[in-house]
Amino acid sequence: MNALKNLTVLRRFVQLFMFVFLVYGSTVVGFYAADKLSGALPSLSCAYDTMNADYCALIPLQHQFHHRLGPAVDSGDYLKLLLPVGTTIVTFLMMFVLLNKAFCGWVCPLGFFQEVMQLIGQKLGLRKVDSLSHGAVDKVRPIKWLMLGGLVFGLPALTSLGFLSDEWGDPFCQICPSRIMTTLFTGSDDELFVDTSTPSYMVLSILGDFLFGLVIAMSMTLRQPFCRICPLLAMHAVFRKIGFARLVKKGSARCDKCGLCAEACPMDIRELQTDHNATDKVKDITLPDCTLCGRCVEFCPDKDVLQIRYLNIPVFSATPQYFKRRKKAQTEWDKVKLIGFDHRLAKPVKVK
Amino acid sequence: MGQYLACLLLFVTTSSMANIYWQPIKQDHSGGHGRQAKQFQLKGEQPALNTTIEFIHSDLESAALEQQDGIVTLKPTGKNNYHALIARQTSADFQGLAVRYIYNNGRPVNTSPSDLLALELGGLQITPSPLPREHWEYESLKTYYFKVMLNGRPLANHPLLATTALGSNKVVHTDEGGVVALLIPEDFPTITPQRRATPPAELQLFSSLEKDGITYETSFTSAYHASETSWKSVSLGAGVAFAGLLFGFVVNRRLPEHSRRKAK
Repeated sequence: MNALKNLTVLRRFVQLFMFVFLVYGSTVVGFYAADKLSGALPSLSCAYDTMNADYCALIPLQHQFHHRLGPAVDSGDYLKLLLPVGTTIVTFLMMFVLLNKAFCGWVCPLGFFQEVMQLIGQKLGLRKVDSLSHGAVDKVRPIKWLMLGGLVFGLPALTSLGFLSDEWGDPFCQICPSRIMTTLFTGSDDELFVDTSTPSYMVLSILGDFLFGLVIAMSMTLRQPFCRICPLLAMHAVFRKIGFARLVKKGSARCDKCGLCAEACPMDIRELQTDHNATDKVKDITLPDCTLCGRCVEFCPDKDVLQIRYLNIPVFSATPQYFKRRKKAQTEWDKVKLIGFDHRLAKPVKVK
Repeated sequence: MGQYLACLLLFVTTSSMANIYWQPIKQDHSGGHGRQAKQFQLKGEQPALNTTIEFIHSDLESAALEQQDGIVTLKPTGKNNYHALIARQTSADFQGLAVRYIYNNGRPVNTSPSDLLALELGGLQITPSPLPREHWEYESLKTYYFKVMLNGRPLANHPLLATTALGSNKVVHTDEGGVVALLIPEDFPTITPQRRATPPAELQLFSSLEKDGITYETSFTSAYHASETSWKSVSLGAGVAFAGLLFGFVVNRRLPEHSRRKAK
């Protein structure tokens, strides 16, 4: 298969470009927050990275709830909170509407990092778990909402109202793996630390460091482990109906027995297979966990059953021809191993 | 070595006698998030010379200020980001400049601190390259860069005296591009292990030059904070991350296999 006609290869190039741009792009867009692209990017690009080109919407949202809610309640002037939060949300939406959830699958530096780690794990021959069980997926799915509600809004709000000490003003940033990952990529170890100044800071910094190591290890075996619990995924889910980019489906009875789309999905969205089958109409299937990576469309063998549409114009559709070429390319790619590390450890060769 | 010591002595002597520089007046910083009035005192003034004071806002709007009892009070401008407090003393054969960049909270402006730093202030000028970003501060044990320029042109191999209010002194020289790298020493006598718990100290940079019969003097001052390395351990952090990594590999081996496809 011509690599340039492979959607995943194309996506990886876009991800690499966006990674370099977002992590090192201050030389292009400028050094200060005032110079950044938006200050409310719908991807986990970190403000602690001194070379970044933009930073994610979760940073201002936490700060605004931390610093503005208490004074707003005290004075009764809720505009103090609503104006900055509204500005952040509107700025976020101005960008989000353009790419929708593709900010996760095509732009996010942490998403790309996890995919690279997954590639490394596969090439090292580590164990590969393509899918989690339905039960496990169902247990993991609500976590992203807890992360958004608790760490981005809840704890900063409680801090602002005086129920918690100041350390809990930006708890998600304190544990976000992207903070450590992006700063390490700029050659700085400033964010990989255990803070012993207060018990709260110590807990948060240990959690952040541990989660960073955990995400590296797990992403070598399981696809996109942190994306599944990311609060930005939840925030995207809230606004996904207004995005120009969509995943749509016009299912057939064959879908019930196929399931290749669900198998290809790195986020284990089984509804790709089960929803909107045997229907005459094209249905929006941009589900809350979707990252618009397009793998389900690539691995759908039936013509036009799955499509990525932009402003309702199909930009990438499932076809049997593409499916065959893509499947073959994937099989060949999977055969390439640098080391059979895990297999040698787990399954020693038996001498007959 | 002797040359540096002589240079240091010259600078210490001249700076204490002549260089003008800004010094903050201690205030109660409880609350306000930087929105309260700030006060500064201009030190080292030559009484015979006229002093002009300018406050350039973050949107580059300029306002003339007057000293009252030797103190300049900066009222909130309502504008966000860095502002520049500038004092000048000039005569036919002398140009003195003191600069201090002050962060204010307020509504966002359309200009960047880069625009503020790019302003040519005239004479000899020390410009941070860059200023610490919004959530960063000058901190001991870290290296920062400054550009020394004369009338907008970089000064190569030019000496600059870095002092701290806690007693450290160091002479550093600019490179070919007029840029000097300065490692702020850790000279806080006692450090309380928490961010902002140790009161900041003053960093003062001085430089002077004689050219074409004119003496140029300049200063840059800013607060700097105790290094966070006293209570943040990178090696412990790396150890915890490694523990997370190992735990992740254990979890990986226990993750149950699952086939997403329905059985045919």
